[in-house]
Amino acid sequence: MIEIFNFKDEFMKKLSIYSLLVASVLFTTGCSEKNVDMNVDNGAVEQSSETALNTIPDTNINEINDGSFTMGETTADGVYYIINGKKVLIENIYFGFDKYNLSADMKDKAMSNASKLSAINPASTVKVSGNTDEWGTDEYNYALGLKRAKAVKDVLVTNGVSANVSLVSLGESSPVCTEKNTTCWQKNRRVEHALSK
Amino acid sequence: MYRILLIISIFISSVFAQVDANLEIVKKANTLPKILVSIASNSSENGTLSKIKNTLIKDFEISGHFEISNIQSQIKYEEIPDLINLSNQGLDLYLNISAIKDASGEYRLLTKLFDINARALILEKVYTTSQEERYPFLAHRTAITVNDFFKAPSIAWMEKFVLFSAYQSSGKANIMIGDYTLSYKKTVVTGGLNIFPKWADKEQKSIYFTSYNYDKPTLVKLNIFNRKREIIMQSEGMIACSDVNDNGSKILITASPNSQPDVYLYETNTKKKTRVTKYSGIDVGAQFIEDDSRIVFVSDRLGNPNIFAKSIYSSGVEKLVYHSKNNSSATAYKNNIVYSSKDNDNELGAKSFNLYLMSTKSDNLTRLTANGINQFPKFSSDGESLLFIKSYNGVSSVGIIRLNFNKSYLFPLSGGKIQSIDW
Repeated sequence: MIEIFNFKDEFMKKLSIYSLLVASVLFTTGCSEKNVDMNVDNGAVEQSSETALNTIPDTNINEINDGSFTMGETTADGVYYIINGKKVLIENIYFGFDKYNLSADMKDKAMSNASKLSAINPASTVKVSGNTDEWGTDEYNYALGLKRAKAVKDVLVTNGVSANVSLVSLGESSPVCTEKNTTCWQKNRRVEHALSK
Repeated sequence: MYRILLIISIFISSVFAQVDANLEIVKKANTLPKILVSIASNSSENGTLSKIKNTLIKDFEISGHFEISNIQSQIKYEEIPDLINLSNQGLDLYLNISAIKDASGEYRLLTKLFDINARALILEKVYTTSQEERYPFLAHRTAITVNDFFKAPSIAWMEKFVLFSAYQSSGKANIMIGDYTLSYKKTVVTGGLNIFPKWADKEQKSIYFTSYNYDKPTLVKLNIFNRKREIIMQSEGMIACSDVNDNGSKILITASPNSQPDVYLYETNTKKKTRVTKYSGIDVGAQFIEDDSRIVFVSDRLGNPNIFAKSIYSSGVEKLVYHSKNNSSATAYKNNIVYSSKDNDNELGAKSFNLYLMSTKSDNLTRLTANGINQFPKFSSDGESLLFIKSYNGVSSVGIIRLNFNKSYLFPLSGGKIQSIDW
């Protein structure tokens, strides 16, 4: 069960207390000769505000743990998501030329993604898309993209991700850069992630 | 007027013996008939007609059955060329062309073919189209008619559409049809990512293609005339139609229903699907061979992409190519196979994929291209020509190789990068 700290009610309570306080001060200073009856006991007011504070429900905000997420910004290295209120980077995974196996540090990255994604609720979907560089334009290239996506999916699924993990191969169709150099080709040989509800 | 008619009729009566002499020249192919293509001096339309002339010249050259003459000669459409003078210059054939564009927009191409040696008009034809932009097809039809008149080997493929997909920008690809030179082009599918188009039938009425506009990659069949669409199969991951058999009753599909790319056979009448490959790596790009009983396909089952063959209904797999460690993209015609091979970096440092022609019955291996990225080879239906895509120096082109003549021609695409092609 979620306990929600209701700002509006608390603020209104505080506002009314302080207004009363201000009003009482004005009356005592401005109207002491005429309205002795209106003498407000400051001490009593403070006490009542203490009391009032004591009636405010527990201000400890419980963490939202329903596995909900919203998308943050996309960067060259991956996508930020706010999962259960916490901002995390789901990193792109990169591959060698003509390869679909994960190197040791790419495996670590995939496992780190897996632990971040293990928090999202099982009804959501993680879509993993496999991409290649421009050095092919036939079915083999699309299959390479698919095998890359599958390699990442396998790590996610065996490391705690309970959401659906779907795959798609985009082959060489969606480059992030078009320069003809090894740096750009490496950037395109990647797997990306996208979350959906 | 009557005198001319009399002379012409005398000439025509002597045609048949002379035409036979010409047939002999073409068959021997020792000397090709020299042909001159000339625009009539009194043609009312000249802009498109110049383009038709250039296309005709290209068609004759690519056919390999004619030699193009550069003699300067221009006559009115109604006139007869200076036969004796041209004969002395070694000319064999004179093709005079003229054009009329009428108010309704209809474009008429008028053609007259003179046999210089026979001193006769041997062919007179008129070709029309309601869309002037289709002028390349008027030229192709003219070239085919002249070629067929001499009973030279067929070049009927020249007036067929090529079907291709071209990347426009990241995540977007259109499907287009065009003539083989890409002078005529028309977009048939646009919006999102549409790739791997294939003709569904010989009449070129319907296509198969892969669309990414559904929740997962989808194989669609589309009639390009009435726009009727049918979903054939969907597959999470990837899907592509690799080959269509001769009568369109069977297709080979690469699909990944369990995230695993494999070859499937789909029978279009019964909608029955049969899984053909079972290896856990990559199996793609299958082509029918041997009367649709076997397939040639690309697999990485030995660690690198290579070309294999297999019977559709039994499990034994045979390696076909022993040259090079990276061969993808194969096409087959009878005993011939053309595949794309990743050559090692050459001394200039650039990676390249080249096309190789091999026979399953001998050790012959011929390299067909020299540089660039050459992929997606496809034999013509008569096996005499090869279609492919070349990417070189940032330019994406359609390539045609005339195998018997060892000649290769390129037609660049302006705007976009060709993803795949079929004819």
